[in-house]
Amino acid sequence: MKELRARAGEALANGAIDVLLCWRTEPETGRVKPHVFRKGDDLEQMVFDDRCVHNLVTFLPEVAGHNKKTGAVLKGCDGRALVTLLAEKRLKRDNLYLVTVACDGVKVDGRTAAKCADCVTNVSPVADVVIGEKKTMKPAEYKQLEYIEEMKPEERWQFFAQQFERCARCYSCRQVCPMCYCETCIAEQVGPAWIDPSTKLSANTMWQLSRAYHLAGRCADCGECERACPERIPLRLLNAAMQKAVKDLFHVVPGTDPDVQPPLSVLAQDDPDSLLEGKR
Amino acid sequence: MREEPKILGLLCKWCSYAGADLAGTSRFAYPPNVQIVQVPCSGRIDPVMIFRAFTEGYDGVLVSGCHPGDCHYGTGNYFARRKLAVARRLLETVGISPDRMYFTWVSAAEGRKFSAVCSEFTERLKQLGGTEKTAAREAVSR
Repeated sequence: MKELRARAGEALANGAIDVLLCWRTEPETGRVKPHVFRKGDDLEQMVFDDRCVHNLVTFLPEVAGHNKKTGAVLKGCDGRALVTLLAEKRLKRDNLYLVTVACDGVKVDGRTAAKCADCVTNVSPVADVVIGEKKTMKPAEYKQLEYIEEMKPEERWQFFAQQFERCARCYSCRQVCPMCYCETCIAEQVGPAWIDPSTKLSANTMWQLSRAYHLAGRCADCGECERACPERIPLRLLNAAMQKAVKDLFHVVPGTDPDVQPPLSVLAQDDPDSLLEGKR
Repeated sequence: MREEPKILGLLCKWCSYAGADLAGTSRFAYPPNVQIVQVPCSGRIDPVMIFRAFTEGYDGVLVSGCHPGDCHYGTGNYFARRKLAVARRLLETVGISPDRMYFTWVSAAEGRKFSAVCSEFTERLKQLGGTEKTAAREAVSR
């Protein structure tokens, strides 16, 4: 943390960056929240520990839009989200100053977050400054899906119907997601209104399937959607199903390699036609 | 369960729709279960359309475009191929059998193939229909 404060303080002081997006301990409450630090701010409030669950990349495009040079502190999963946003040209690499801190896992409600068990990188794949040790992590296996894969199709639907039925369509999952940046979300589009805004099961199913599909080949598995969901719908499960499909079919783990484009926006003329059967 | 399955056919304007037209003008018989929607290109098909079909109570979705290399716009079908492959896996995850989706290429000259595809798919859905309670039917009833 000392090194983080020193490096960030230096960059802010000498004008290398205009602002720095980091986590901050709120003095009044002691809670950790995302914060935009400026020159002269109290850097003692800057924090990086297992309470830093929020994905700062969600806020980065907006903050970067208001500043010439934006600094950001990133965990591994934040970095994965950033890699995809850079590939989609949502952000310009030249306008960013990226500090990544080796992450040992974060806690949600006092317990290590479920996503951390499936972590594939403890530091951001893109960074100007790396603080701490980059660890070799196990490759993406999507083990949590085994539970679903063992079920018969009818059982799977029963399971998901129970989950989808609870959805209140608050769209918290969308608001918190760094990948959801459409100005008009398909869920709010009218004429044609593809997704009924009511909370009946068919409409909720439409929303959940569309949300998961739009993350195919992009999701950084930061787990924010699941954390934000007031109904505790296992959204990471659907995301993982998509990422496993993408890994099987296109051999891509999103956000891990800055040189790889999101696979669904790649023109691939030499794909085999067996893809139409969902195989490769 | 109704005896006759209801199928949504999403056909590209340039090849498959013309192929379906040819099947009609050539008097090739095929089951009337397919309700055809013309789309400008298979690349236009958003998987959300397929999800919608299932939540609206269709038993199966037939998607067809130009053969690879023959796309009127050059590349639409290559993107469609990737998107559809992933969408199929998502539906499989939530318990809709992948056999309820039929993705194929039919050119404007393949009227006979179109009629064969429709017959085969309808037959397949009839086989599936009796035993499997579809997610779609349940979703639409609630």
